[in-house]
Amino acid sequence: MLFDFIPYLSYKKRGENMQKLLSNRLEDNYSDLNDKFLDCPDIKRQRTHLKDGCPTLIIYVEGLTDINLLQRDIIPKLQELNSTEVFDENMQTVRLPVASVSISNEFNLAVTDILSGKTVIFINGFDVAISLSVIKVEKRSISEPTIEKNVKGPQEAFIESINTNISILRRKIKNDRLKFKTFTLGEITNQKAAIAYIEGITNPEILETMHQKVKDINYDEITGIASIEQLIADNQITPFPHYLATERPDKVVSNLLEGKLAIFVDGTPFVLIAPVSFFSFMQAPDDYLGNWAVHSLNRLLRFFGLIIALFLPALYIAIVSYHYYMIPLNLLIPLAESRARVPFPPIIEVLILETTLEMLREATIRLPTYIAASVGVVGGLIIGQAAVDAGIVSNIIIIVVAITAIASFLIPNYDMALTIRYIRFIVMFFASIFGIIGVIICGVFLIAHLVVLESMGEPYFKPMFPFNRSDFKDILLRPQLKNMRKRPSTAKPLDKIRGGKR
Amino acid sequence: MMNKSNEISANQVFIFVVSGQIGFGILSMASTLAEDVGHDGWIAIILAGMITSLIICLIVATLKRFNNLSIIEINNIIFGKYIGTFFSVAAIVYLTYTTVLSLRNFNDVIRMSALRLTPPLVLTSFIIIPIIYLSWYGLKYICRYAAAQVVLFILVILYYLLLIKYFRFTFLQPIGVSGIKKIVEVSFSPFTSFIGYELLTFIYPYIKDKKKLLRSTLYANTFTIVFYLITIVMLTGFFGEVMLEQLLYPIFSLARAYRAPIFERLDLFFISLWFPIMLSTVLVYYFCAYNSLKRLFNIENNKPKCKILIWSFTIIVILLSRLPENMVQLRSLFDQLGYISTGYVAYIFICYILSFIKRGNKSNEKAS
Amino acid sequence: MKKLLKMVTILIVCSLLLSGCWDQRVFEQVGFTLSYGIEESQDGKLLITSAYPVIGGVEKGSVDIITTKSSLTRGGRNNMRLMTPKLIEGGKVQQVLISDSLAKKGIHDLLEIFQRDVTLPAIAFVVITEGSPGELLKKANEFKSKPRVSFYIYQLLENNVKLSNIPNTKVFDFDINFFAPGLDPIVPMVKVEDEQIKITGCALFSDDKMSGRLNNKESNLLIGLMNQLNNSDFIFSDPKFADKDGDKQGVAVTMFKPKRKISINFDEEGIPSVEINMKYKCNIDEFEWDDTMDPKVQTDLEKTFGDNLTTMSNEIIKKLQTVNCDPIGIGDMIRAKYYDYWKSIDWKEMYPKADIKVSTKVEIGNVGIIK
Repeated sequence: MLFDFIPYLSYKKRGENMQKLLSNRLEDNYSDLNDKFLDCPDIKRQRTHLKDGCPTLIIYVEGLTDINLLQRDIIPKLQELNSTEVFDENMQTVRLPVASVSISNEFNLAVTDILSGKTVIFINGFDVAISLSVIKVEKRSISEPTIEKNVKGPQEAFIESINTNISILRRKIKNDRLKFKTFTLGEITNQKAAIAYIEGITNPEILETMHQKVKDINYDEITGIASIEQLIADNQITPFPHYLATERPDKVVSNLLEGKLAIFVDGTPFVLIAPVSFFSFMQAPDDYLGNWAVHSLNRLLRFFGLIIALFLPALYIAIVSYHYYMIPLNLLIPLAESRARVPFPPIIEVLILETTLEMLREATIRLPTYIAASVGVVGGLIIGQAAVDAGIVSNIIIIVVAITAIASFLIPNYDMALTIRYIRFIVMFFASIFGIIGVIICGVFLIAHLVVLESMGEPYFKPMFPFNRSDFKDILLRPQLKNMRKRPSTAKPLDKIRGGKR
Repeated sequence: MMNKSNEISANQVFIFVVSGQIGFGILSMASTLAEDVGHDGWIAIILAGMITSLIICLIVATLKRFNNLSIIEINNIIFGKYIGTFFSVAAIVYLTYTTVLSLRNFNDVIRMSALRLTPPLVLTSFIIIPIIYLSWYGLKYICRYAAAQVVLFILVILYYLLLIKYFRFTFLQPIGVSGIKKIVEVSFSPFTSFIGYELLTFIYPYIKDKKKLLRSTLYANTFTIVFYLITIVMLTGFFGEVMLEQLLYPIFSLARAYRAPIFERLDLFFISLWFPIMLSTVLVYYFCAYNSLKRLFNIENNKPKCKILIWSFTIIVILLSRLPENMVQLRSLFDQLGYISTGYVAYIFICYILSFIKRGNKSNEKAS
Repeated sequence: MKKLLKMVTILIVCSLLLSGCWDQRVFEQVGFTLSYGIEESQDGKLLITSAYPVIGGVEKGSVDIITTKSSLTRGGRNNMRLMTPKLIEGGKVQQVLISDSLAKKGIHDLLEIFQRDVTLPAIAFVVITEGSPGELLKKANEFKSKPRVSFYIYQLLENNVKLSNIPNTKVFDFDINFFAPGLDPIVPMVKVEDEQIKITGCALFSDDKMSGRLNNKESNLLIGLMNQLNNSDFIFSDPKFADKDGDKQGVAVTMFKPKRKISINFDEEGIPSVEINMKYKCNIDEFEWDDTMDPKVQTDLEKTFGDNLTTMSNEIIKKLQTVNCDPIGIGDMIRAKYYDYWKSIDWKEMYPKADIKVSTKVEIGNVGIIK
């Protein structure tokens, strides 16, 4: 085991029981444990004897323990020992072939140990419990990232087990400055959680604030990483994600090196990165893995896509229903001809197609892959020529909606893409009432909202507004790595320069 | 919390002052100048800008004498509680007046250029939403938002460049024919277009590094001068003085003159560029009025009361903005604004003088 | 109470928004006039012709052309709205066609609406038609082999502006040149001629009244004198250039952006004498099988070209002076440089008297790939 969470478990909630100590007599302990684990058939209570006949109790959770190891190495060895030989002179270690052993005399500690999958041994005559880490949990193996794919970067993603996730991170940063603050979350589920940071880079203030915030979460369960995000967000009235959830270890590493924090929670393959700015959501890991000029172009394309995804349908509505004279002369007649057959006003026309598309998108996420393919065909038919032939929508709107959809797929982050879609509908609504003024005022309001937002006290829209020149380089374009010696100031890193002094 | 969200740096003062200055004055300034001094408007602009710089120095000097106080508190110190409050109310009325006029003008420009039939009340209520939103959150965010305008100014200048081939240098010649006396005389009038710097007296306590204040305000003023200068020169060289006189909003007429390759008419795009600029002018005045009211009632840290205040203030502003009956009246009200702001500057000058007397008294008291 | 207030606000806002879309002009319900023709009716009013493409009509690609009588330019639109299925709007007007007879009476106020009403474009071409613009539009509409009439005229004008055959006169250009003292507008002219619309040169304006006209070749040169020429195809037709057989009497050249120098002096009586020095560069496109690379031949050609252009230019200037039209802006230059003098005279009276001389030099650049 890489990590031992026992000292960090929070006992506060159990109040006075905290100090309950184990008894000398095995039977007392046994009955106490039996009370505790009433109706818990998965917790095995196995009685055995030491060499000198001293009764011993082995408790473990079935399915979390490596039974083979227990049977083959530990129990035979235990049975060969006399009760006096089990502990060394100072009662510090145990003469058993196990790498990770802890000894404690607190009852509750023993209970948590059992629940977290350790094998706990009680020996008659000793008021201590021996916890052996012979954990073997069924988990899936490390696989490719599913929603954040890339081309050239590492092809591994986090999994549900926090220990594995942390080990992945440790493998990537072989440095003692990579530290973790650990605690448990979830009033009932007792999930392990950790905040990773790099000592000397991460600003202790930010770390402390975040640690406090996360520790204070009072909720029965943390389903996914987004639950944490919702529970600790600074500003609740916003569609924008405050923190960046990622499944990519390389992304976590690069963000840690910028002085940011990464929050791991057991049971979710996602890691939350904080604090972040709006532009973190527009960066893909591939950006840094190639020629700077090419990837700068990619970045620009992505921002262009963002603007298209936000405003194109709204502009279409505004122009077609209010400002007909902004349509290019050569488009005038084809567009009017295709519109002439449509009975609906532009806003309804756009809404029909956009909602169909959104439904299609939502449906394909949930459906099994083999049905999803046929949904695609059906959707293609509906959105395709059929709708035009039936006179429900015009030709141009299909192009507009299709371009918008493609543009919104350019946004690398899933949460942000959802947000942008949501905002798009609002802009469309106002465009249908006030024309281009509606679009402009919505744009203004959007910017106003973005500059008001803060992620852990740091401006969300930094470095654009407020402007920061050295950070701004890495926003619309991607400069050469040589020119990016300075760490971004979003997380106020202590060590501002990348690389050692030479 | 409220106070912290109001804190701004000297660099942000730059953009604050610029957004206060550039907005409405420039829309019709070129044609007013053309009426008075023909094609020599640009000289008047430079002179007016220099006068403004002097006034800014004066204002900053006055504020420096009272450490960390806005005009609302200064009034109380100089004139005592009752007269001081009266002057504070007068100052707030001035701010509200400007807010209302610029909001009305903004509304009229929209109604003139894009939405002719939309009920003005609905339109005003709609465009004021971002203003309320930002004012509620505070000065820091207003300045951040206003920084976005720099992009727009650049776009506006780029738009001028598209039309540069129609620019006739002869329209600006001969330089100075309208006579130096006339130009100097007139240069006192466009400095209404420069108002915006007087807002410093309201936001002074929120500025963090006050040493750099004068410098960045002067930079802001210089920026405005340069922007006005480019605009006036462009407009005069494009239209010629005779035609310029006839136009109500020469900048919009300029926007209408470019034929883009595919889209042909870009005027609406260009006018759209102006909306955020005009919006931020209304915004800074609105904020100053609202914030001064907060300071006057001393409810800066009382959120529920602030909420009531901001809504009632908004409703008052919207309703007042419907009062001017037509464009002619609005124009004459704008002209009066020039006198009022001049009066306000004069008032600050009086404060400056009185501050010496007051200080003198204080030091005397201490001595005795 | 608070909840009630919120509900009421939301209700009011919703009802307002739902009753919204006050300015909506849904695109397909709009009939966008693309060409506007203005002429005079017999009883002294205006005949307004408007052409708008029919969308969703029985026949595809048809254009509806309606002529109505009115005393104002706007009146045409309003009358038209009474008889068309669509809401007629002028936001996309491409050309304003004005009959030459009306132009002679002054057209400045007719165009005023394009500046006053923001929905109308100030970038519509101003065109003078020989004869009635209504007739022109109606005839052109019957041409089977041409695009819709407005597109036809639009493309025709665009291309010829690029070739510097006609001045690029939009409504705002016209207004600027009209208002500026010492500048006069010129406007392209078209007419219908056997199944074609043909550009016939440009109309010269004194103030806002049409006072004369130039043919195509002359307008080409005038645009050169106005320093707005980018490049143009030009044919020198002169017996001097005759080839051995004598049936080809001319040289075709491409002329490039000239260099212009204007010097203004005044004689004792206070009459300005203006010297305009033009320096063209040109490529020879068509001539004859001959030794054009020979330096002597080249200098000869250059000299003949220069003389030819000089005489033509001087003739143009004479014409301009007789019709009192100053598109080159000599008056403007005098106003800019000699303001005191400008104030002492009335330029409109002085201009015909002024002594304006053009001298042109031509330089041959390349001659194609035949020696």
